[in-house]
Amino acid sequence: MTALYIVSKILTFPGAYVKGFWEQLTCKLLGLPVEVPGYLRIDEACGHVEHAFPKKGWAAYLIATGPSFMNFNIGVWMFLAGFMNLYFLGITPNDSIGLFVVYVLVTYLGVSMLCNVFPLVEDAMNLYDLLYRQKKGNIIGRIFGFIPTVITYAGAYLEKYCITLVLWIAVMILAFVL
Amino acid sequence: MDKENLNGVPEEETEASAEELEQAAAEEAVDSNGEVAQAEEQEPVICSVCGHNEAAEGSEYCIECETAMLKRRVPFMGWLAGVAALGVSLLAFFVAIFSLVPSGYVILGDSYAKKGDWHMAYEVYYSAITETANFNSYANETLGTNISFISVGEKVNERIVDAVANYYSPIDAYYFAQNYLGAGADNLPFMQKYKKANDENYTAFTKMSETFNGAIEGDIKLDAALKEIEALRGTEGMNDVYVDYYKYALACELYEPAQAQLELLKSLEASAEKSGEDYGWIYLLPMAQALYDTGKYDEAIEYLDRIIAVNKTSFEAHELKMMAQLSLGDVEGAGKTVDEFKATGAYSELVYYPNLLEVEYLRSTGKYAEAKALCVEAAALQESVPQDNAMINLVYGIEGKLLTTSEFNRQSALISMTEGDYADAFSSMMDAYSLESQYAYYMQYSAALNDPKFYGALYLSAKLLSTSDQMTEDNAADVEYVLSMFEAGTMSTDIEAIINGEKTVEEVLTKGAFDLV
Repeated sequence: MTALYIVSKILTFPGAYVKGFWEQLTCKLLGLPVEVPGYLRIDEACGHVEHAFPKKGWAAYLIATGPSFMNFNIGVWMFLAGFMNLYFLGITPNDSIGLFVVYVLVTYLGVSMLCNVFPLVEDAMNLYDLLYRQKKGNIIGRIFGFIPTVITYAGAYLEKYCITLVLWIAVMILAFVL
Repeated sequence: MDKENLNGVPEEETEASAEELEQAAAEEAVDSNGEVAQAEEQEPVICSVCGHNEAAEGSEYCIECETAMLKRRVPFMGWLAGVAALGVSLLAFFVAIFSLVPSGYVILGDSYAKKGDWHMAYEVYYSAITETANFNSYANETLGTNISFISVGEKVNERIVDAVANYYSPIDAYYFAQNYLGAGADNLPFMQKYKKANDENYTAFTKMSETFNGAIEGDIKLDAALKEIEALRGTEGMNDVYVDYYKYALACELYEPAQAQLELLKSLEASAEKSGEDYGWIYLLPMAQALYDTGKYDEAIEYLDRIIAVNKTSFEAHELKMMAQLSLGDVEGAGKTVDEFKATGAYSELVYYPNLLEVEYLRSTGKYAEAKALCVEAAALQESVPQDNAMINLVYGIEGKLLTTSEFNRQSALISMTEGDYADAFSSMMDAYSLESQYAYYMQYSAALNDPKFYGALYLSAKLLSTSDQMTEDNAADVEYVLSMFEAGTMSTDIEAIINGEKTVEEVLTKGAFDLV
């Protein structure tokens, strides 16, 4: 499974690399020590940085969802710009090879970002544990953070087993091949 | 974590720090309690990074490792990737926002196309192109540039041509694409099916044109001509569907009785079904018309429903269905057909078609005042339709604008004749005639001027006026001119019956064929 995971990260390396960057930056902002800073390593943490687990609820929330937020917001516009022009406005190589290549590239970059949205399962588990088992953080934060935490938790598993990539590939095939 | 993973922390420094840390921890344990207490009882936690030093309290790492990790800088490549991603995303954001409206139109057009509302689909797809052009123009004006910021691609053009093909026919779509996409249209992959349809039609017509024209001019008898066309079946490049179609077309041109046309259409239908391809566009409407003309209204409605199922905005199909229903005495059903058709059209020249259908319905059911008011309103609305944003105009050039207005004038004339106002009827028909003449001037041809419904109404209005006390010096010359264009006794049975006083206009238009066929 790790091999498949690593392959998925290599296939979406721009998003994996940028995700690693946002994670390290968040660790820096939160004062969390980063054990292994390489973003594209050939192991189960490929596309992430190994860091100490935060002890506070809000820090755990931020480290789990902050980089995700950044990659999602960057990726979604890239994806929309490329996809809308390729799929709806129907740009093909017959119209302009340059424009077509740009939109294909932007769509790929967008998908690569969106395939690297979720944190490592360990970070998601730590977030859930701190907020809802140890009940760290105030009650309002825990109430509002519940849905994002669940999404993050589920997403972390989806990403771990490459399901997000498989889903994206399916969407692309449905849109452009079938 | 082993020592190799501690990037950037020198090994010697780590070992020295570990010794100092162990000593300090031991001293601290003795000093604080006066005895070696818990520290000796518990296993010391070793730093997970260096693997030598004891981890600091509440941490997995020793102080040295933790300090080194906290001081570790984000690599330059990371910053570069992050900033580049943000920059590209910002550009993508603007591209996505600007593409949103045209994409929305395409999505909307797809939803209309899925419902078989091809006319609306066309209109909405075309709006995507207009919006794109407007945006580029605005952006270039604002920025002082000359760049195509967003553009509409081949797939949208394909959707537009498909909409024309489904609304009219593949052959119309082929000629539309020639005008719309220019000389390169033939090379586009999606055009191949339309090119094939046009080539087949062109080949067939070229091979039989001599026979066809000879028969029309009276040089060849119909039977002989049909045999000559039949002989072309199976020859190179000849599609059986077109053999049968041109046999039917020739019968139509020579005003063969509807029953004879129906027989030829049955052969055409058989060939079309045998081909395995969708040739509904070539025979369904003529078949329905022939069935209607032979009084088989129920069967005609079945064929018309097949057309409406795939082309919800077909005016011809709705009009014939309404007339078939009226012929069956199903006034309520006819009204429902009008309402269904009206529900499909929201703007552009569709204001014309639903209104025309409603005018015909109201006129045929004797609601003259309402029909006339709608004629006036619809003619005014039709004037406001932009010439460049109407499919009928794009496909048929100026015809759409002129013909739609002329048809309202004709409808108005029919109502006036029913009410006995022959002067007004003649005036309306002269307006219609003027518009058709303009069209004929531009296009060197006018279908309406050769349509018995049109010239019949023109002749009848002139004839009825000439025999009434409504003649004035102002219209006398025009009446005389119109009457001189036609030979007496050459009009349809219904028109001749009205002129001879055997039927009234009202009888023909509300109880008979509902028009001057």
